[in-house]
Amino acid sequence: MSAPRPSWLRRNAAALGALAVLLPTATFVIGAQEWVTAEGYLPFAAIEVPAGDTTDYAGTTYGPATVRHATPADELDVPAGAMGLVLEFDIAPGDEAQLCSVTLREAEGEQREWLATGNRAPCTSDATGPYEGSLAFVVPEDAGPFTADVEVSRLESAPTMFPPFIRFLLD
Amino acid sequence: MSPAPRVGSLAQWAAGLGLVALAWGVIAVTPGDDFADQPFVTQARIDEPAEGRNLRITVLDARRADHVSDERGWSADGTWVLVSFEAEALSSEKDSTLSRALLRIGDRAYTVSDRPSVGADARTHLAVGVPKLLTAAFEILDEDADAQATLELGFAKYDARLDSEIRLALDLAELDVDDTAEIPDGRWAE
Repeated sequence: MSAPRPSWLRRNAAALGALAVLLPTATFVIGAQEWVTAEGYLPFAAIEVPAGDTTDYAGTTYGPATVRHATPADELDVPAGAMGLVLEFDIAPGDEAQLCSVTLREAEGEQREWLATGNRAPCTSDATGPYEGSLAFVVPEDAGPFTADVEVSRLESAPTMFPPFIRFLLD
Repeated sequence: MSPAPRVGSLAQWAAGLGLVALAWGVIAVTPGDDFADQPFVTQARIDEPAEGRNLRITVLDARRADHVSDERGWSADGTWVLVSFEAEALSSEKDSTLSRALLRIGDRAYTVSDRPSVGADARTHLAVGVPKLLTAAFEILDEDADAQATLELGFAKYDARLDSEIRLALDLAELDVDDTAEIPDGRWAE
């Protein structure tokens, strides 16, 4: 007579143990792959720049950036209940031509975000010396405080995965 | 082999037919392929704000007109449906162009007319928190003038799957008919 056969659970302990490791691993790997595909090419890590400060990015100096209320001279069409804002920032270009897009974003709360009105490009690729970029925004009166998020694009030296962006903290 | 006993065969037939009926029922209630990724619909009513993802629409008025003009001198005869509404984005101005503006009547889907000047086109960029007053102008076939219609508004131009859609049911026969109407340019709401 042989010893009684061990239980099914015991006989399959190794396989069950492997499953317990492999299923979560597969879930994580597939999920991470999907996440990277969806999110990995969007601006990822903020380079935070305190108010009044500058930052160097790929040879170009950005900042300082300030925001002010629009005046009649800005010729902005602002309805009741809203306010016009003008964002001004200095750029000292380096060797590499840079294009950028700028989003005005609420620093707290819902973090609503606005794009500039009009079609003015905030950065130019053919400036040879320092220049000042200026963008106008129309936002509701209850909005703020703000940050200005600058995404620099078309940079040969910039990483395509998890690209950083510049975040100016505004007063 | 012995023949199947007489007793129980009736029950077997009943069970078989029952299963066929059940299978039919399962097929009947099985949703279509596009069920899982259909848009999230918000039913709107006149003068009541309707919200979707990053979108708030308040339809103010719908009317019909036999002759329309815009602010830049263009005008045309036809069977027109004009829907005026306030629209704003809620969280982001990225991709906040109101690209989808359809009037569905039966199997037909009318897009906003391209004939008026661009400034009068309701398919415009929406601002966050600052509503715009827009007018969607649809030029429809005469035979559809008294039909039941559904207005569809959203950001997705082609692919509305899994995105928000504001819908408003309109009985075109009940709308006021103007001899002539102006399609105003899009502007900030008052």
